[in-house]
Amino acid sequence: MANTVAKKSELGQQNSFWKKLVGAREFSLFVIIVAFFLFLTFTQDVFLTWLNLKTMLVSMSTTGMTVIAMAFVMLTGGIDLAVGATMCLAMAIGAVLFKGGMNPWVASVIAIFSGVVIGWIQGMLITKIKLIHFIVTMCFMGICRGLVMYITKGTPISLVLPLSMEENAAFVKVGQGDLFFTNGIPLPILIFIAVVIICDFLLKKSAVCRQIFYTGSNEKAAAYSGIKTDRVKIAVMMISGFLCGIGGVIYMVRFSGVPVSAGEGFEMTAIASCVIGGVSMNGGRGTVLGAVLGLTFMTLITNAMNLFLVSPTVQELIRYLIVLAAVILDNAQANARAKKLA
Amino acid sequence: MAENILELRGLSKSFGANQVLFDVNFSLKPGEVHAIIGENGAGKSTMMNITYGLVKPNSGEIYIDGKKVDIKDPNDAEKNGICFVHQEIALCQEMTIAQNILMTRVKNMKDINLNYKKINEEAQKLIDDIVPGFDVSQPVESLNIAGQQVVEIAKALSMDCKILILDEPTSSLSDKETVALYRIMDNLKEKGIGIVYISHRLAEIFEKCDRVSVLRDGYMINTYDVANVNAAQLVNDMAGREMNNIYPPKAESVDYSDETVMLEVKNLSAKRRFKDVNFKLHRGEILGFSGLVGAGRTEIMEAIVGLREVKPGGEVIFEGENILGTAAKKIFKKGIAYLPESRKETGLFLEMGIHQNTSSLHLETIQNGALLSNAKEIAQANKFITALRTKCSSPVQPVNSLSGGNQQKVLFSKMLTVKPKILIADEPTRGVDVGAKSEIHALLRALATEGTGVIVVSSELNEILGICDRVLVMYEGKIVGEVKGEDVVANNVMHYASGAFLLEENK
Repeated sequence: MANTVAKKSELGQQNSFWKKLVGAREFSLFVIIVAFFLFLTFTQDVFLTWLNLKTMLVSMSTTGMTVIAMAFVMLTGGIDLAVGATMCLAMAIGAVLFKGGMNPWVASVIAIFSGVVIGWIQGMLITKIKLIHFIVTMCFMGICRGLVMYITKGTPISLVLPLSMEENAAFVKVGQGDLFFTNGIPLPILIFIAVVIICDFLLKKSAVCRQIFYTGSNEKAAAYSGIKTDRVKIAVMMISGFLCGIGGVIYMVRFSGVPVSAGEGFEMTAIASCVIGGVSMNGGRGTVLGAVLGLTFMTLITNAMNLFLVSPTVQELIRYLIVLAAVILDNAQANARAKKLA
Repeated sequence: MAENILELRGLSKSFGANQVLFDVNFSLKPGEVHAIIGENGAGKSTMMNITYGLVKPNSGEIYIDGKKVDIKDPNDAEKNGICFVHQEIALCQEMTIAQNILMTRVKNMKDINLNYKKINEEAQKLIDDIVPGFDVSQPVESLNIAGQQVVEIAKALSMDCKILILDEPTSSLSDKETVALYRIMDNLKEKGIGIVYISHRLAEIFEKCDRVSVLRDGYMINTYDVANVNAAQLVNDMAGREMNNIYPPKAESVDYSDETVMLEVKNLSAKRRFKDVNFKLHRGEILGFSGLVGAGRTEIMEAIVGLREVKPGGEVIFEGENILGTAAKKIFKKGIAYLPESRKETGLFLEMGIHQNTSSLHLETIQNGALLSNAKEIAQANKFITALRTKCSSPVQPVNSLSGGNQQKVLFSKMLTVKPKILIADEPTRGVDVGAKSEIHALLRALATEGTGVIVVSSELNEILGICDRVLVMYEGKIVGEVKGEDVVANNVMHYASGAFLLEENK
């Protein structure tokens, strides 16, 4: 008798675990990605080659930093249009210092720190002067790009020479190294995966990060719960700058230099990835994992179009039509869910 | 011409199962100021919203100049010469006074070619008739509240108005501005316009009105000529009632000695909000704050818990120290909880789960070291769902899928995860069904019995009378009366809340 009862409750638990997994926002997206992946595997021979996958993953690791940055800001109910530009400025500063003879590690730390400072300034403008995210970050998109132009005088910075020096070999690994075996998993991917896991874990588990969700869900109620919402919003902008800085350093080493247009359009990819991944534009809802799955979806679309030799002239059009369709679908699903509960 | 410019016959209205008007009759003569009084929720606004076509009645008829009319929407109302000046200013702040006054005219798309010069001249004439000295080409935002009220009235009059409804027009006006408004009303009376004057303040009724009707709980109690009635009678009409809720028994006796003081507020003032507030909260009592909306009650509570900065301030003594000016978070940690008046705006995280709402005030209750425990969070939510009998299908269900009463229970759970030493509940049962309401009242009483100091702020007189052991009544930012124990009855509280005590003092 006792045995059957125990079994039942075990079953019940398993049941709820499955229910939870299937019910999770990320699950349906994950299924779509797997299906898409299988489809490409069987239709395109080139798709499932290590080179193709590696190229995709490495490009994701820099864009991905801006996606996570965007997810943080969107969770507080804001938006950060300056992610790409902040990344570009951070790497330009790092590159100039490095080229000028500074130790590359120190230069990288300064580069990342400059991203944090940019985030802090924006956060102060948003909370203390009470400007909206859209305006502040739009202006900083221009300001950062303008500073890059000023620093570089409009010409790309090449780091091929300093990076080829013996003493910087360890640093080169950050962007170009492999792990486990020669021609193995590139280090940028591993750094990215580590950042995803850490951020996802912190947002789910840390009490400090929970304040981000409360602030985004209902800023007033958060204040009435004793949360210093201004501080949360500033911190999140600084986290965004920090992540963009890391992305910038990886980008810089990967390309052995700084193209002045680095990170252009990343903000749009980041927003689209977050929205597809279930991060609410109104704040308070979403996960880093979801946003990264959104990016995976976007990357697969681009890759598929390249493999199918879709003309670049229509790629942008198709990409954003698919984004729109995904958002409409998701919205319908959310409405159905709300109806079911009510 | 008929004797009555406006007549309402047998108006009834219910929202769902909740009937708010019962067979109400009302009449208005040309050139008359007819006041409607009654406490919050008596049905005054619903009655006027029906007249203006904003709400459809379940039954009843409206007559204008003796002719039956069908008013489907505010356009119909305006065609019939009914104008409504709402309590809240609803003007386009950036646009000019003239554009605002003639806004309703611009609705007609055929007049696409607007002649601004003509509009300005016309508006200037309209407003000069009321109060001279306005420049209609200035934006509305350059005016103070009283000025904006004048614009609202001019806007109403621009539509060939015969019946003017003023909904608590003086609630945001200073004394001087009120006098100006009275002059305008005199002016309009002379023109034969009938005015419906909704107010909470008895003094205004005696000063300015010809007749007065009292609404209570949706019933029209009486209509008097102001000359033949006194304040006591009106208070009686507004307050007299049967108790239709069952309240938990009150404390048998409260020890009001100095040893039982849990919180003491001394000389607390805030510019333009409240002044010289002094009170003590004792262990074991439920202390009520009564008064009209806008009397300053919420502001005081927010100041006490550090959610509002006040100047010049004063003292709030809790456990031997002055906590005024301490950050809200620290005050909550000390054991004072504040249940805000609007659960949707300032209380809950609507699209987040019951569990995440419950834990939001004291995250430390679900922590393992620095990390949050999902299991603990759900266990805590379940504990309170059982204790408060919250009706839901799962502890992770988003709170916006719950009914108002159950949402309020989640809000209470949030306050109780760490048992508070003092609980300040602002409108604890607003928008809550009857069942949940009495459960919440029982909960408040249980907390008080167990030694939590409980303050209840409520605009609902029944609630104050039903659960409070002692009541402080506020009027325009001051505590004007205290009633205790046996004396906590409607007439005593209304005497202070309506300002009737002022009339007595004057005599």
